[in-house]
Amino acid sequence: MSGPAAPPDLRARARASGSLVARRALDQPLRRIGIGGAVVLLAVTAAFGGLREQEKDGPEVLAVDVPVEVAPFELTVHRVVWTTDLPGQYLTDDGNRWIGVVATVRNTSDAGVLGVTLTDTLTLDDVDGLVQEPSVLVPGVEASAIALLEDGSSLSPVQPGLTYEAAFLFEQDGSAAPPTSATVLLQRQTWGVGILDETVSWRDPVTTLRGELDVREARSSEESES
Amino acid sequence: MSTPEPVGTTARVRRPRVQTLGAGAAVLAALAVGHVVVTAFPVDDRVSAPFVRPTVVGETVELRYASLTAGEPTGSTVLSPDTSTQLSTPGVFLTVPLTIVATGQPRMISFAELRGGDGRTYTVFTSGRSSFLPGTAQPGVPRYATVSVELPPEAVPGAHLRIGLNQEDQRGDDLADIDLGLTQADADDWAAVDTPLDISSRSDEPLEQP
Amino acid sequence: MSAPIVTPVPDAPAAGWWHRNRWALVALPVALVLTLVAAGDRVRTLWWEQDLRRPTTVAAGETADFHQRVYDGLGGTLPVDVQVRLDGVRDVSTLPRDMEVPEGSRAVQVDLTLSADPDRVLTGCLLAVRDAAGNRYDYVSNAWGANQAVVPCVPEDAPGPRPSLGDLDEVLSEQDTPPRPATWSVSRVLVVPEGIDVTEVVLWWQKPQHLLLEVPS
Repeated sequence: MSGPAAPPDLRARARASGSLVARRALDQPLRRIGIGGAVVLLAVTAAFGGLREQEKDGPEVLAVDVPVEVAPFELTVHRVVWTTDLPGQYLTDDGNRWIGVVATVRNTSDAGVLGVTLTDTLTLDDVDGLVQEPSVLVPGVEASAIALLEDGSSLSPVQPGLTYEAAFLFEQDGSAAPPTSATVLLQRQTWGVGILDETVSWRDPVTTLRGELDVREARSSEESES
Repeated sequence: MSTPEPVGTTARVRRPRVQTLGAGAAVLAALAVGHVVVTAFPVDDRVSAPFVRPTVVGETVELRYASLTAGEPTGSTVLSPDTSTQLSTPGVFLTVPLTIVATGQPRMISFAELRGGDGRTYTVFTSGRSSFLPGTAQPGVPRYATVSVELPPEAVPGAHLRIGLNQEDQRGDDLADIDLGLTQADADDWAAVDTPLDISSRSDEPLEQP
Repeated sequence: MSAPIVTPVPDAPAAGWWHRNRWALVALPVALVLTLVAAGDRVRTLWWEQDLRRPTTVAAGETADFHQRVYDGLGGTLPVDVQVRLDGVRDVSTLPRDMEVPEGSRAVQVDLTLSADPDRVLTGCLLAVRDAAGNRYDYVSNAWGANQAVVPCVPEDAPGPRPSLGDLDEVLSEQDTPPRPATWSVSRVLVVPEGIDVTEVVLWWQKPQHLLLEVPS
């Protein structure tokens, strides 16, 4: 069906009206009208940022001891260590070990946020035998606990204006070899409402930094730190 | 009435089209007016805003669901809650004892947050490093609970404590706003203290003032 | 020009507005009802079922039959069929072990006699008293230093069957309590402020239905 899409009587009226534009337009086949409409629609999106340059995709490289902004936090990852014993933290099996990502955490927003938001912010990948299943919301595996080095307590809520030294703790099965390197992923979140959920919160985590960091065994001095 | 005149034809075809256009314009105008009415007056926040009931330390405030009295706030850099291990902070812990008397029916008051003097909001959850969990208060029988909040010392002067019924949602309900009457001197004192502050999170007995 | 032209029949009465729109008019009330039903869907779950709204009032000294189908949490319902009589509300002579009544309050004891089929699941009931002003005071099993029965309406040593927890049933140990008697009495202690008179006892499984037992004056 490649004939004109408009009904015959309409075309007849267009002819009678003497308008060349109307006649030519109505003589077009449906397909051409459709393509034209799509082009017009795309052109209109330019007014709403349709032609704006796409932001750089893919995460940047995470470096140790460099503060980075991953909203609502500023994180400085210091080191990744493993240990079999941490006071106040309990492994699900005695033979397992902790992999800890030690970091400085600052809440850069103007309100305190709960630890769950921080849990989404830093995840671990490329380590064999992690006890926790990979997260469905963010890439990688989420920490099973985030412990403050100062007192071993769980870091929640994370209040603004304070600088916390904390360890993101991931449990690894004892049958797997201790890792020598691990991929640390940092996710940035956005403050807003969901499509179906009208409550405002930090949501939609997007990985903005990714770093393959060396993992070594914790020295006893570090353990006593916590 | 058998030979229609061409003039009549055009008139008949055109009239409905004018009507259709008019109706379409009217619908669009109605939508535009509706949009203006909905957006021109920023009342959404005011409609859902909580009813803030201001008060000060030592003065009882009557809320829809309870009457509430805040005791003298105190602080330290080390907190020893009865429900968890000892906590240390890079800032200060601020604690406020509260007396809750429910009205009408048993109430589980669970919302608290601290509006710092620096304009930031310090979140309080039912557990964790900043916590408030008084449990259920029966009408007419006082319930005693302590709010503890971790915050930087610069947020202490001018801080207000807000208490509400529902942890998730305070819209359209009473919300107590307690001016804690704190100064920079309080903040400095507390930041220098590292003796653990023993607090009892909740009790049916009056709390001992430290 | 070959456009079809409709010529009105001169004698036919012009079709009125009501006649032309008769089907739309028929559909209008239906659409209105559908709109209200759709918009009111959450009134039941978010308002009606959130408070005690449907009392079964029992005069002092009377025995009441109470029937309700309660949600079992697994997508089905369970029947609650029970007979309840309020034997009395009085000041407690001996407090439950370790109970300390705060100053300005007193402890009252509610005595109930209930009857039910021993196979009926009755866990999940809640007990409260009300004063003349309508204030409600709940029974709390673990409060004021004491530990009373968790379920206020069944005997502690023979609570009867517990509701199914779905797949968890397999891992839970078998219940080894004796069967619940056909008729039993319970005495529960509540703490209320001094100076109030208990005028009603309230017993419920799931809101909005509840038993409202009047206290003999």
